[in-house]
Amino acid sequence: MLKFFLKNLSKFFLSALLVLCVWLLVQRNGHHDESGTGVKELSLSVWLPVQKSVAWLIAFPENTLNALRELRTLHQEVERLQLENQSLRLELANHKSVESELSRLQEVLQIKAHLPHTAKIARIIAHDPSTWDSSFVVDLGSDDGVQVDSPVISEQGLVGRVLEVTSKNSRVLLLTDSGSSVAGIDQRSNVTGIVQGTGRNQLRYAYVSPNEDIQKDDVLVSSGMGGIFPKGYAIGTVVKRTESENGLNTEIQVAPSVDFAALDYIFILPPVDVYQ
Amino acid sequence: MKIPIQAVWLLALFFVQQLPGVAAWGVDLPLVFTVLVGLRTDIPKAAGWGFLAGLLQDLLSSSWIGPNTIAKTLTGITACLLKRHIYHERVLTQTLLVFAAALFHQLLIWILLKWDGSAPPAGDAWGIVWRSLGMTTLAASAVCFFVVRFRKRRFDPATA
Repeated sequence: MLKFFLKNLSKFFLSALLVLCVWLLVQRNGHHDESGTGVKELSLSVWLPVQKSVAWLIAFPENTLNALRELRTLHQEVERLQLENQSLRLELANHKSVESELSRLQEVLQIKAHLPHTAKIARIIAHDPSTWDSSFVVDLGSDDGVQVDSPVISEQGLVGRVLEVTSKNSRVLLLTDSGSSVAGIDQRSNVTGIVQGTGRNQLRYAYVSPNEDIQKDDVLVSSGMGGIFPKGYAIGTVVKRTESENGLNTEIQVAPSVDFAALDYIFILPPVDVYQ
Repeated sequence: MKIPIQAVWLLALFFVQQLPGVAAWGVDLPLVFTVLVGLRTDIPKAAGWGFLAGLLQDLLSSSWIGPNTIAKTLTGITACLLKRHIYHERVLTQTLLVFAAALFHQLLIWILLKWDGSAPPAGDAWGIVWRSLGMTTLAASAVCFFVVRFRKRRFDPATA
């Protein structure tokens, strides 16, 4: 029996892989929300420290070289900094008194803690490796108070929303993902519609009637409808409007305001229902 | 314990794949890996490496576990079957094989997403497929150039 097994080991292995593939499909069928969540969480917690370490290893030679280059000017810099340090200590003492006053005021105005300016700053650790999905992982999780469906912004505008949260990390679904949509409004003409992701670095302004006043270079912002994204954040700019031959449909292409590939840090706002 | 060199390559590829812009531009390095490994090994190993590459990709992406795993397993097997009929130690041949495999792989994913009900509309799906086909083939042409040159120097008796 063992001999037969060993002789046909590769065949058994291949069959096992194919059975696993079928099992994945069977598991998925009818369990859309919860399939694989735990395994994915575990794999992220294993992989992300590796990703961080490799990034550090890659940056290490460059950092060392830069440090050696700067060694020459270091002594002069130390003297200058010592003087600056003294003046800053004085300044810090002043700031501390202001800070204590500020914290007292914040306690009085507790509602302030729930406003969007309480945004958490998160660093992007890894981007989605799949060509069909647009998301990235950030270094804040439920331990830092991040919740699912929290809106995510950058200084350029709306980035997306939090899709999954683990204790230390969160996954942010970008506006450009084909499963993403946000209620938008044209800043110039006040025409409302839905901005949808296309899976590429482009958006589409949908559910807009063909005779509505939307022109090239119009800026679209979030309208606040839908309960996930707050009002007034930049989404993108209209780049092209195409009418169908029969005039019944209109296709509006939108360039996102955010350069997703250049993002390093993002702000996670509290979910909209928290401060509404 | 000896760690297979393919595992090291796979981890390195995933590090690159998760850098900003790589997947966003449609480059699928794990697919290139699957095809190139498939061209140089037997069917069970090709399926195994394809399965592993796809599983990692699904685990680290926002999608459900399945589309990349299944598509890359089958792509690995297909690449392995193709090598029996085609002399593949040429840059152009390998690049064309990656192109064909990428087309097969993306269509499989689209079918699986369609079955699942999470596929984007057809227009968007074609946009993703074509962009990925172009960029993955372009990346593959660079990878294949080095792989073929390196293997020729190493294994060709005339240049070894």
